[in-house]
Amino acid sequence: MTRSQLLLSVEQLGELRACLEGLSQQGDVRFTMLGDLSGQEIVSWDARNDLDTPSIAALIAGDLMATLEIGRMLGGKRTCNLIIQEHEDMTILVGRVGEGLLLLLATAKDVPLGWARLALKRSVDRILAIVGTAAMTPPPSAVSDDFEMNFAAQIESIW
Amino acid sequence: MFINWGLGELNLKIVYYGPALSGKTTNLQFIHARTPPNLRGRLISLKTQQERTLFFDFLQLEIGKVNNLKPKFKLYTVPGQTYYAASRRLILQGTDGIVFVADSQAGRMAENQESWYTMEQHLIEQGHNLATFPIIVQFNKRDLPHALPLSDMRNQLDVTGRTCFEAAAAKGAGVFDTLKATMNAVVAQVRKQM
Repeated sequence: MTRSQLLLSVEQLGELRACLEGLSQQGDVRFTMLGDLSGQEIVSWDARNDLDTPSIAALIAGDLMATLEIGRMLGGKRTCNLIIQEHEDMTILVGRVGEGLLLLLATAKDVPLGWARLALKRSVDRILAIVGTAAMTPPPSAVSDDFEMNFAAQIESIW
Repeated sequence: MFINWGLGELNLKIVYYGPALSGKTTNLQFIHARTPPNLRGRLISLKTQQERTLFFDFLQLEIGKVNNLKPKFKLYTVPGQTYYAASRRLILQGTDGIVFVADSQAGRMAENQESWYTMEQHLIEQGHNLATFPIIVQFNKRDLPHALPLSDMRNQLDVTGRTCFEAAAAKGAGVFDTLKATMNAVVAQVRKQM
């Protein structure tokens, strides 16, 4: 396994956000998030705008990784591509995007599961086209030489 | 590490690793309690009914703006019990630095050593270079009456060359020294990689 080193341009992030917004307008979608398997949130769309998205990113990555591991321990090949959770008032789908990313889609309970699965699959394909190999493009030089010194001073001022 | 250039965010992951009951969750609880609310998220704990960590604890810290970047740290703990090895390996995925929380009590050295060994194995599996990967050691529970001498702990854990701190996390002693050193080490390592 390699460590998470995802680097996306501003344009790519904008396209990803537009992709999630488009998905949210196709049905009664509560929440959708693109994250990575190490628990980092990349972009999200939230109908209520008040969710604790960093915590959700950490939990959903743990959920998918745990499911992959259960599959492996049962003799599978860590190839789980979809988790479906049926809750009392919503349905949550978590799909794997490529090797290192995941897409969460939470819909109202009355949204047909077939539609949600198809919408998720199409969104995964769109996201892969946006992220592609360019995800590993080196970033612009934004971390200047004095960053470490200024960072150390900042945390000293907090604690 | 995930860099969101659109929002200017530098997202980094630190995992508190160590044997069962060494004080990993206690570290996060103290950090959560003593950090200004505007700089921290909720402390998420997935625990058993006996208050033991089942999967992980999670806490996000924000540092404000540094040179136009907003560093955000995701702090995780792992479950310490030996039978949760699979969970620990998963949580280490994508980590940028580790705080190894060792239990200073006499009689816990075997657990410390086993935990250190499995941590190294997991890091190697994930392709990290142990010589350069940021691992900060916290010798916790220094306030307890049967704490081993520091020199014994250093020798038996083979932490030569690593930055180490003494702590009594239940009282908060050493918690932020450890955290700040780890954050600085992680940032220094990220700078080298960029």
